[in-house]
Amino acid sequence: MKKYMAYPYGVWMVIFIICPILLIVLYAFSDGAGGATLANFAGIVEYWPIFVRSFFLAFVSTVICLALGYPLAYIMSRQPPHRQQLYMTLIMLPMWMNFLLRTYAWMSILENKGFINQFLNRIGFIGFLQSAFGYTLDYIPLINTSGAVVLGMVYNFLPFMVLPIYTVLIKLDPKLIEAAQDLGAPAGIVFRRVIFPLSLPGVISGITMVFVPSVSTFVISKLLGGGKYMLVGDLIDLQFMGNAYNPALGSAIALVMMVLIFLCMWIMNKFDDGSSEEGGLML
Amino acid sequence: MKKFFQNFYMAFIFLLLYAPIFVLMLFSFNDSKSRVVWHGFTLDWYVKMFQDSRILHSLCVTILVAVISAILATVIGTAAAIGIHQMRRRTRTAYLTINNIPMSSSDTIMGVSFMLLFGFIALDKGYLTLILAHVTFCIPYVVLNVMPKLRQLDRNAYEAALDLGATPRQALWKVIIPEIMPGIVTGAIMAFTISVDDFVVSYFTAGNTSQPLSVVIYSMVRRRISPKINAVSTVLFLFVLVLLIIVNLRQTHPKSSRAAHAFRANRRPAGKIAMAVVLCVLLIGLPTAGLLAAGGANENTTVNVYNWGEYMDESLLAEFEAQTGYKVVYTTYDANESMYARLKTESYDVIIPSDYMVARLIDEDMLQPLDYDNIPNFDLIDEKYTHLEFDPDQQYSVPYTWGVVGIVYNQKYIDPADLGSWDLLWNEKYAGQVAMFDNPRDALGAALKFQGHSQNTEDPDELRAAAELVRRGKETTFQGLFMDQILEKLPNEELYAAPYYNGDAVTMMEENEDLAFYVPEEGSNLFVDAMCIPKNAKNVEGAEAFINFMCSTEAAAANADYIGYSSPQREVYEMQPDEIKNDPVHYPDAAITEKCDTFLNLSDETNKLYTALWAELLK
Repeated sequence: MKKYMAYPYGVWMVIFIICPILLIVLYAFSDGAGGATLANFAGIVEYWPIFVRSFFLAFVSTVICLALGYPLAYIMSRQPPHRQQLYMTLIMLPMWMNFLLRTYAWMSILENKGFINQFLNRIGFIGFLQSAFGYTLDYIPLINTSGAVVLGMVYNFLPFMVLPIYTVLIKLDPKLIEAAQDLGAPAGIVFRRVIFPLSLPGVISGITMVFVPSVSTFVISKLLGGGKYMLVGDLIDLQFMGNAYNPALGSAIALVMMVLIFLCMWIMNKFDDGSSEEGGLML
Repeated sequence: MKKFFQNFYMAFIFLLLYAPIFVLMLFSFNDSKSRVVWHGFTLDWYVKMFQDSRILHSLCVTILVAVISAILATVIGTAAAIGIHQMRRRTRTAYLTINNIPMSSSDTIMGVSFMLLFGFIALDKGYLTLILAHVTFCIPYVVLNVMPKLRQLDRNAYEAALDLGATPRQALWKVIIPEIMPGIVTGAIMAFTISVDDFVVSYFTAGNTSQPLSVVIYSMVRRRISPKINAVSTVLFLFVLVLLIIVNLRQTHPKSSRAAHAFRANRRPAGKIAMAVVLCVLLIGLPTAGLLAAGGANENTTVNVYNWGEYMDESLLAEFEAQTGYKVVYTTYDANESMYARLKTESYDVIIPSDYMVARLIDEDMLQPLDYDNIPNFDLIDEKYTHLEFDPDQQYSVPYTWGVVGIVYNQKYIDPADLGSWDLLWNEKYAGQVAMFDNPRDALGAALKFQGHSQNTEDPDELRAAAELVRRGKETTFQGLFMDQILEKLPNEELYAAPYYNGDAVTMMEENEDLAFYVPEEGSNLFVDAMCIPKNAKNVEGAEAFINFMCSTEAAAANADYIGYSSPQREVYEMQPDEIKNDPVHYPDAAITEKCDTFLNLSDETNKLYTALWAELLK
């Protein structure tokens, strides 16, 4: 057991993690002709609304994931072991269907003539709306809205919220809960004062793992949002692989996003007491 | 009551998680291309999936890359975890912090940064770049799964082994590795899973000959996913399901953990290792064999063709391969501009840009002059379509198709009184049921024409006004901005009207007979798309052979028939039956083409203004 066993990975990290990030910084400050410039950052100011929208949608998705995911993780952790195993597998399993396809399938479900609208028409709900409220469309617009984008994010990233919280909850020392109960705390208080605070590391890594991919996704908004409003991910894609082709500006946008994400995470971590080195990132 | 509520909640979540998967699987058996209407049961798509070399190829790439990446990541990651465990607190924290970066920074940023790195060290995108990137984002998962097992390890066990005369190496292999094995296995499985599921990083790092399944799916997602993909995914999904069930059964079989421990300790590890080796060899060998059988990526025998989506009868590719012995790698794009961006970082042998993009590529010295001695079929092209403004000396391009932009509409829903003008797209009667192009040149071009300006204007005020008009549409009437998706949304009646190209209008009208097409009275865009060979082409001879083949009367006629676009070849036109020759949608007459003009290449400044206005518009 020697330290040197980690050295190859150390070299690897420098080449493939540190260097690429430094390159983003380098390109962000380059003017494309070998000189240094701040012009790229000046250009970003114009895109501010895109940043605001991305962070807002990611925030909403994260809150919904937490609201849906925490109870799920909690219920799971209270099941007998073999059922826990089953539920874990059931939550991981969808990841084996390509995520583009899963998102694409939502198009069939949400479209104006998709399954939900077909269903609502069949049970007469839309007819009811039309006769009772003078509703003029024969469908409810679901696809190509911000709501559809949020749904896509929640759907794709929910497992990343559930798993870390669940991992922390099952490691929780039952003696602490028993002690609280013995001391006469009602169930609500036990949860609020004991269980929830102890599960915070899981919550925080869950939030990270949902928020970060949500804020930078560029596929979900294209498929479910109708391409009317860009997210930061789309903007970056546009600079590197799309119409605009401007890697310097793209790098600047990526850098600003990285810094913003880092700030968000830093503020988040203020809520953590920092006692656990590994956090709850472990799945 | 509480129990009931809990179960209800779980059922709701699993419904949410599995509804789309159920839809995907169900429609892999649908006897139609539709993904919302059930037309009966069939296994056709499963048969066709095995005949589609592009899908099979990408499946092989996905599995191969995932297996190699998972193995490398497991080895490097496990060694790293053992090393990190021995470090002093500060170095350990440093290591773990950097290790966390790939997991906590977004995959978009990671993909972009890899792209910059490989560009910087001039490493061509291909299997190597793909695997390097995958290994990098897989290792952290291995490290994080192995570390906790190391922490649980009894330190004395290692020392005892040493005291009993084991060498450090023996102690490592006989004591430590077996103890942390569960962590290693979990880490390896996670690495494999994440590699298979990855799209974003692959999108930025895969070359055109090494596209994994997810990248191929992405190029399809933007227009129409063939149910063949549903079939592939269903097979893959069921395969994993069976695998997981087997693994779970094996794990849960020995009841108590103590028994499991004894059971594991008594078993000879040799058998297990041999099994793992056999499994790895199979998982690497089979896809490699598949890729080799499909023909390796030999630059001298492959022709790399980069074309618009749904813009070629792909069965012609096989015919070309059979005739010439070349192997075609065929990829698609959905806008001239994204083709241009790709061309900056990748090499292609044949591209098919539109007029103004040809001019821009000529201007920027990105095309090579053609040797017409090797493309004798060029003579078949009607002179009407040669020596046009974008390539006055006809040095760089061979016309492929021509056509006009117009509005495709559904006669069931659109009042005939509202037809005739671009105004239809801004008519509030149809709010939410019309769409616009999702690229700056076409969208602003339509708006410019509507406002009575030239599509080639360089006047910033006119362009701003046009952008403003598109913005108004976006806020009032457009359901969305689409490109290839229009091909599906119009026939499915998700949209009632949208601008598109006449050739695709023909295809859509065949699918849904309520659709019709007109060219707005204010005029529109007349385009010529042409085949070109980029400067960075690796197989010029093959590219010339391909262009020549596509110009042969048989291939051009078959192609025109398939894609519905007007052919620039006199003989092909003559071969058409009268009802097509005289049909204004297939071959727009002079009265229509007179109103239209062709896009010209714009000045750098105007191009920049386009980009800025477009970004502004989508804010």
